[in-house]
Amino acid sequence: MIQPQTHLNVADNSGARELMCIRVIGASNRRYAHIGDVIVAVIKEAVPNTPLERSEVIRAVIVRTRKELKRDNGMIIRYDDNAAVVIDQEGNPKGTRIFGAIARELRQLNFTKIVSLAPEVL
Amino acid sequence: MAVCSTTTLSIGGSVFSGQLRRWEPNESKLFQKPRSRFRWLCLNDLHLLRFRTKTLNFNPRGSLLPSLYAYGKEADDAFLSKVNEDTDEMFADLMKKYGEVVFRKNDRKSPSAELDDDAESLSCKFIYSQVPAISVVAVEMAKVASDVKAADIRVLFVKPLVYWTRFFIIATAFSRPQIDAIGSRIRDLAEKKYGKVPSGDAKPNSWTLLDFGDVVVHIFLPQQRAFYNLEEFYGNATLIELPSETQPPFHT
Repeated sequence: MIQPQTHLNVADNSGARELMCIRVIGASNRRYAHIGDVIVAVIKEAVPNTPLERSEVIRAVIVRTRKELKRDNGMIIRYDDNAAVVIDQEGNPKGTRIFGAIARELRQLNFTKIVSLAPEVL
Repeated sequence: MAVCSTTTLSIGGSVFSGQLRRWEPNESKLFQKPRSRFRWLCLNDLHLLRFRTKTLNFNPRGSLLPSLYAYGKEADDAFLSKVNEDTDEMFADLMKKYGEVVFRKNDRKSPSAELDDDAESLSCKFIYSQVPAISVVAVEMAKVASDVKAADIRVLFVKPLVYWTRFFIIATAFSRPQIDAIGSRIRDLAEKKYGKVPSGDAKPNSWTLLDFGDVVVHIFLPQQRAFYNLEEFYGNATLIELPSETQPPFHT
């Protein structure tokens, strides 16, 4: 359950380290974002000498949430952190590799590019 | 020999006929078979029964039973009066001697066909028979891409590395119109020939991805291809050889 003001880790090598959600994209007045949703975020912390800088506004896809994700088969997935992957306006990831495990729901939501860069798909 | 055939008859008649007659719809036809043939069958079956119990080769798909039962019914009528009084004892003896009765069904195949079946299920032939079919699809898509002059086409068998797909096709195009052309050609091929509609990018993108389920097609601009470097990430995947016509001879 990601909402504006939520801080998220960055799960790729784009150069950002920490994001803050400022808007959930979807419907108007949408409250929460879950795995596979796109948010608008601001970079709160960035790695020095990388293309992305602090206080830059970007789009990101949520790939891990502390809020559990339920599947139809009864499986429940809950991660230890909230994490997102930085994407551009076309939906291409800004980094070249993804860190950590991600959920296969991303593929159904048309983020197969992120899935194909991930080391582990749950 | 006479005793032997009688005991078999009693098995066939009393034990089976009651339960299994309903499995055999055309029983009445079988009723009219001559007695001599019936004897032979019974003997044969007794032998078979013993063999099966000894080797513990219980086959649930056997087919001899219905015919045996039909004959058994006939025998039942003839021998029932003799057998009735000591049926239970006889059964106990027979069970002891030959073991439990094995039920068999009507759809028996020839032994060789059965052996093939077993081998098939043991060797997971199903899975292996599917892989070449999909690889043919992947190679065909790569060919189509090369027809539209895509460069540096790689077909990777990534199934051992990731569970979610089997083949990656990675290709380079040099402009967005070319990406569009490659994408729409591959889409047309998949839709017309295999009835598959891809998910992924609808519009040409610097990294266009077409997801057909078992085959995922990546079309890059040269810059993006170097940037994401998917071949390195999937370096352990098996490279599928493309036929030589994918690199057309260059005439000057």
